[in-house]
Amino acid sequence: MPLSAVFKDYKLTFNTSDEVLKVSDLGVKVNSQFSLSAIDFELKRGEGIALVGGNGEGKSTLIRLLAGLTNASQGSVIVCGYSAKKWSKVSKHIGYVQQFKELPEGLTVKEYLTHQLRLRRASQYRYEELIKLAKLENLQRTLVTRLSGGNQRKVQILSVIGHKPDLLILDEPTNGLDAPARDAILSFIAQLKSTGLSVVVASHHLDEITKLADKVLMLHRGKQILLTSVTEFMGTSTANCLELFPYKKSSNAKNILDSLNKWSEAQDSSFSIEKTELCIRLHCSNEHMDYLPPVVVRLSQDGVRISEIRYRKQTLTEIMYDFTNNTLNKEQT
Amino acid sequence: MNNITINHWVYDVTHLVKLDLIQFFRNKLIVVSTLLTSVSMVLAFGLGTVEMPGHTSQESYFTFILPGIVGVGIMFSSTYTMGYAFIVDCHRRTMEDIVLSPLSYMGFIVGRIIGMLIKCALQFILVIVIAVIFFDTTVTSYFPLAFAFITECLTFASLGIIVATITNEISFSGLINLFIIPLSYFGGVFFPLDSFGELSNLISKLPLSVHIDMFREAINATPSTHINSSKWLAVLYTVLSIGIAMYAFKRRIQRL
Repeated sequence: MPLSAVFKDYKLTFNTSDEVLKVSDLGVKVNSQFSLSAIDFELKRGEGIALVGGNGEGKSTLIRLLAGLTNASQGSVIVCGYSAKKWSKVSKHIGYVQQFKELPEGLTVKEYLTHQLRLRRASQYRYEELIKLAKLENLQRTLVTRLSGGNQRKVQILSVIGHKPDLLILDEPTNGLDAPARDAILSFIAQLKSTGLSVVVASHHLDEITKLADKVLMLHRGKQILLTSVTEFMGTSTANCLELFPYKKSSNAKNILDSLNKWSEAQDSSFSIEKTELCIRLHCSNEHMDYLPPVVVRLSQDGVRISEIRYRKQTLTEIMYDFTNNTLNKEQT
Repeated sequence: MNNITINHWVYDVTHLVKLDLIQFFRNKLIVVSTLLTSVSMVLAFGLGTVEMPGHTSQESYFTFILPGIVGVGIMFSSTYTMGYAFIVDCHRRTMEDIVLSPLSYMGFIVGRIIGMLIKCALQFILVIVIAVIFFDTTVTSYFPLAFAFITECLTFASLGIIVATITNEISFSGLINLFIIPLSYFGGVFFPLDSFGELSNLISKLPLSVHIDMFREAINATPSTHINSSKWLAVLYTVLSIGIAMYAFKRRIQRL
């Protein structure tokens, strides 16, 4: 059954206010070497923001500040009009899925989820709705610790959305999961978001960012160095570089190189050619030039066969590296 | 707090306790090991102290030591059960999960402490029942017995929480033993408090000492001469330790 069918009758009811999260000049000193400072952003209903940055750059610290679990030394976090420090007030608006969390031993899926619903003062009728939502109907009597990693993650998410929060905070939600489990979890959260839930997600994966976020906030050494739309962030991921994969690896790589060299010598823009273990990369200095069609024509004219040609997409690490370098260069100048 | 809020709070705490007990009783090994220490101690002392060399008193040594066995058993159970429960909760990050529910951190602590009180009560009741049935013990008064039990449980459970907030599963036992091992020997378990001479004034005011003194009064009506101050101190230790535990717990959650 497609997820859309499961969600057909699923409706979340939210506060009418449009602004779900407002973070102003937020900062905290973690220790003498590291502090988080000057974090500023806001999130509207149904919007998602991805927090990106390397390990130890402050993502989890920021997540804890947003959830109100850590006191800020400067600035504020306002969730649906309440300070995040007011646990009793904001708890009904927040669902927080932690990066590392073990489920308790000795409890079945049903016992654990109904308990979580009670704790969050959600109606017990929600149980059937949620268990169906996550497609866990057949595992209700299974001990939560015996579930697969993906299903354990689903149970964790279900337990924090039972009370219909306005804001779902996820700290690396697919960490340690295999590809199918990752896909299932991401689709699940994306569906929740499409019903109006706002999402904050700390992530190391481009697919998570594209599926769950509308904005990207990048952290470097505890500082917010970028706040932009996902479209703009991802726009930079298509570098002006073509990747050509030889038809038969050993035999025609040289032919491709020869053909590209001859072609590039005849062009106005400057090109550079790089041979990697798997493919040949053609870099162009002109950002606006679409040179895939003429390259294909030239290869065809030279009788060179290739198995694949594509624009190269940068990895998240490469994008972050570029942004970080740009920021550092700006700071130095 | 209005009535609805209080009702919600009581309801939430009740369910937290229920869940705690479900988990406890499903783990048979933990149930047995929880009961084993005190039960084996009362059986060993009950059977082995019928004739004690050098003991000429009319009162048997078992009659004297039973309140000590009860007190020391509760002390170890409360501190270790509570301390490790908090360390596991911390490790599993269940604390934050519950804290971010409307129950809040105070409800979480109360729920955990009540769960621990019930588990300790099982051990406590079993020891008293064994002593009454097999070793001719008579309990003089039940209300002071319950009072001593509850104040001791709360005091040492809170101590367990306080130590757990600054340690982990490895360092916890090392630090907690610094407190409870000396108390086991100086707290009047094996010897009458009044026998410590000039030191008895000080020793009689230690946490375990005041509780054992109250147990002696409740079980065999032989308290020390410090019994009145023991009762006040038991209340004081309970209030103080719970207050510090709440503060330490909140600090621990907010620690990065």
